[in-house]
Amino acid sequence: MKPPPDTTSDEAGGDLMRPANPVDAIALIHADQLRSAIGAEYLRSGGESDAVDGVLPTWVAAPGTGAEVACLLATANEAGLTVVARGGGGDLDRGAPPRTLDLLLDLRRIDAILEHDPGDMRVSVQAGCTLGALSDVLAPTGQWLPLDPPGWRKVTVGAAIAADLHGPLRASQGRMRDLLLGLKIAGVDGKLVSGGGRVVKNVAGYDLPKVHIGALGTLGVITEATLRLQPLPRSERALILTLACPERAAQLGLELRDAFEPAWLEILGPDTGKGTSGWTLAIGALGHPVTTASAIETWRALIANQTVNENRGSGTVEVYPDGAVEPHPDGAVEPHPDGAALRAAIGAALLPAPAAVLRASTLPSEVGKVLQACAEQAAGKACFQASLLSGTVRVGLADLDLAIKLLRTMRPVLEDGGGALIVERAEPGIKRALHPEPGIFGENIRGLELMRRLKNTFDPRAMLAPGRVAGDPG
Amino acid sequence: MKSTALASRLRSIVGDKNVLDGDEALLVYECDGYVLERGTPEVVVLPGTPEEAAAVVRLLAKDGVAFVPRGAGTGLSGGTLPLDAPVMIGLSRLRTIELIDVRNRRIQVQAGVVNLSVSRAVAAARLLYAPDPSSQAACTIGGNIAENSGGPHTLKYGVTTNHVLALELVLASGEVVQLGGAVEDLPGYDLVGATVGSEGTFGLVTRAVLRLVRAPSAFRTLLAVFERVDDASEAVSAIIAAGIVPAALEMMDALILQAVEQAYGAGLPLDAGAVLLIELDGPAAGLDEEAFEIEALCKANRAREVRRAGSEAERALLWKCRKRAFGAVGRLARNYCTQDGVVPRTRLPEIQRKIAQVAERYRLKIGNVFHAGDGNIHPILLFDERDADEVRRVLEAGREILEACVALGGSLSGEHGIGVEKIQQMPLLFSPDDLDAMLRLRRVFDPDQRANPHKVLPDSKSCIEMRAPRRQAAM
Repeated sequence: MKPPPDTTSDEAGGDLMRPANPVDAIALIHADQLRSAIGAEYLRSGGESDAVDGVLPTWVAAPGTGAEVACLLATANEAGLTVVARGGGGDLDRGAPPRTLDLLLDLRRIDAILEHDPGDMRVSVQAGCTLGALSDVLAPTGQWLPLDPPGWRKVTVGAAIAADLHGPLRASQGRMRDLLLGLKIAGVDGKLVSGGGRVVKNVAGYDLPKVHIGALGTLGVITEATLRLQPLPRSERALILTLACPERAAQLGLELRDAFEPAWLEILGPDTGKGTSGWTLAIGALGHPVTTASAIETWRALIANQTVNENRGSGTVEVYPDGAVEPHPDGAVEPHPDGAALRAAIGAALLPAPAAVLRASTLPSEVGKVLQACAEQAAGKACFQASLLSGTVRVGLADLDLAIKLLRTMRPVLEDGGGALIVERAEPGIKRALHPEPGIFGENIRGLELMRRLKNTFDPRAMLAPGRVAGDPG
Repeated sequence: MKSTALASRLRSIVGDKNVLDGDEALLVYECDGYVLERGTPEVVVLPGTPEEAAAVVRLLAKDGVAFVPRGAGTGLSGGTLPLDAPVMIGLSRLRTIELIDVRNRRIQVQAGVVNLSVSRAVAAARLLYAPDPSSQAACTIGGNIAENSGGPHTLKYGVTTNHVLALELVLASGEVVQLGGAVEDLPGYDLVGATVGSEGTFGLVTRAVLRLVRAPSAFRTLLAVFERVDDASEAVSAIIAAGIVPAALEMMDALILQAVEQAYGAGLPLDAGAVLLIELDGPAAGLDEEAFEIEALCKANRAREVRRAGSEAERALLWKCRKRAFGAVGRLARNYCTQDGVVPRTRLPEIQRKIAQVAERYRLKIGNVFHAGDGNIHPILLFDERDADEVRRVLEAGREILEACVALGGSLSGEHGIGVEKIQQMPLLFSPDDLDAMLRLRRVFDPDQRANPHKVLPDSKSCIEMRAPRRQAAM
């Protein structure tokens, strides 16, 4: 164990830890070893922009192949260095702060698309390939990876897996665990291991890839992935309306779901809309134009009935892409040219990321209540985004005291209901103020002892992003 | 004998009649749907509740006794064959549906609940448990979880692992752990995902929370008739390339057509080379448009005829033919063995040609009924167990077909599991380092490897002598 590092402040307001492993004689020996693994030009000293949750890496290495990643891990393991892997970097502020960090692996050079035969509906890519680059190759073949985390174009495949990133499409297309077919992983022993397979259906052997999803690189470093693809939808249409309160929005959302299965369904709180006071509900359909037209028609009819019954007041309706249908008083959401653009805008409602995002997990039926309770406590100082069908509520805030208050009051309620309230991402200063108490993940961790054994099995010296994931003892 | 004392202690947990140790009673348990190898456990214990099941495992843990979990025994890879495991724990009595949450589309069931009864229990709420293996009228949710079972409709809906939210797992140590939850996204590693498909080697699953989906309100079920398997394969590619994802896309070849037509008289063409059974489902809007497109694509690929099921009864009959095709094949031969390889979809024509060559070379009849949309083939090798040489040829031919699948970039199993059947071929697909990583994962859950030993991963004991087949398995 290393002593607590000194801290300093930068102008962005986050605290930066000094390198845990100062550049001394030992570090120079390490540098030689690391350099010999990948070539001198791809190893440099860590700077402030390389910090992970405020922890500065001593070294940053940019390996060019999976084998080099494995070699670097073996070298780091031998030298007793701790390692974090990064992709695009936009989601590095997830998880608990790493306890220490000697070597940051920048995987962006490993970005090839290895194999894509459109007829097989799957693609094999290296971890550093961005979802945007992938989309540019897939779209001309009429296919897509139906995964739309906020700012998805810049998100790398490795990050999307390691941080289990998702967006509105999750409601119908599933999330990474439903799309990932196989992985290649570099282990701390310097070996490259394959898990899963490269075909769309496969049960040969254990589903090793599953434990790496959302693991933030704490069990190994992902170097390659094979993903299931879908045909690009022939049309995407969406409907958006504003309601006075979140419980009503959530209830109506489930009614809309029961009337016609949506492809996605999101609720935004007042602060994230453009100057609205109400709660925005957006719902979309994918598929044959006849199907999506029918979805919109069904939903509009249902909403029309609802708003009549409730003496209107709360409901304004707009349908995309075919333009405004009814006038709405306060411009609830800017018009978008098509359903996909509206989905992208709503999915990115919490971008640029607020100082902290808390994520509540609950049952769809409880989303309205959770939103209501959080909104009451936040008293206008937070923004909200909920994915109704997966029971996910995100609260964006800038105020540390409010974060602590929500964690102390809402976490027990959510955990009693079988859910969770975690700190999904936060600026270093806020995150470190929340860690270890009241804590990033809370108490509802199922199978904690097994998780510890899992971590200890694949990373016995705790060199991979130590402490970042729930269940990783660090 | 040790097991007698053990049996009496087991009886004190589950009651006299729920412990079987007589030779005749044990005969039922000598194999599952994979009939080429057989062996009986010393004792079969049938707990009546998840708590009894946990108590049984705790008792075994005390003595370090290995066990084999078993559901309905419909598995097709010998996953329930006891190898160095004196005790079989049958979960078929754990049949309680514990909780149905229509609003959140969840259902909590015990492991012995039959697949089809889950969908039946929620049908009135217009919901569905999507994975639908052909044996769904008999197979259990626990078995489905062990094998990560698929079925014809997985093309659109995914396999078991996509529909399991939570598990209660009794570790071989006797400890009961709750993994995942009815709520998604709980913090920590995805241990549910790791456990699904682990073929009973991580412990005993006693309860599960499953995700339900909306039952489709409309179907369009098409039967496209082709002269040649290759044309049918091309049609599959054309449908996929057109951006249509049917709920199911199944192929049956001439031999299977003859068998099912004899059995069920559905009016299938006996002179066709292959048929595709194609189903679209969902809301009615848009289905006709896609059905017309599929019809056109089939005809463009030389389908001589495309029929459409005109009623629910016609649809049900077509599906009966498909789902009971294995049973119908029983009429053609005394025994049969079903393979479960996967190839990238674009390699279907190649693997079909390969299968035809193998059939000729080994002088075997091989029928093909399979999930064409997924590239998941099911060659059915016919034989007579009394003909030792034919049995040998069946085993060799099966191996050769699977090796061809792997060589084409595919997999040894799409949905039946590795069990004992394909264990020797795992090194074709995985390097020693890959297999070692899997073994380490298994040891996280079961360090002493007492849960279903010698399965999935090859070890020195998994290569057993083949026992003489004695009877045909009940399918």
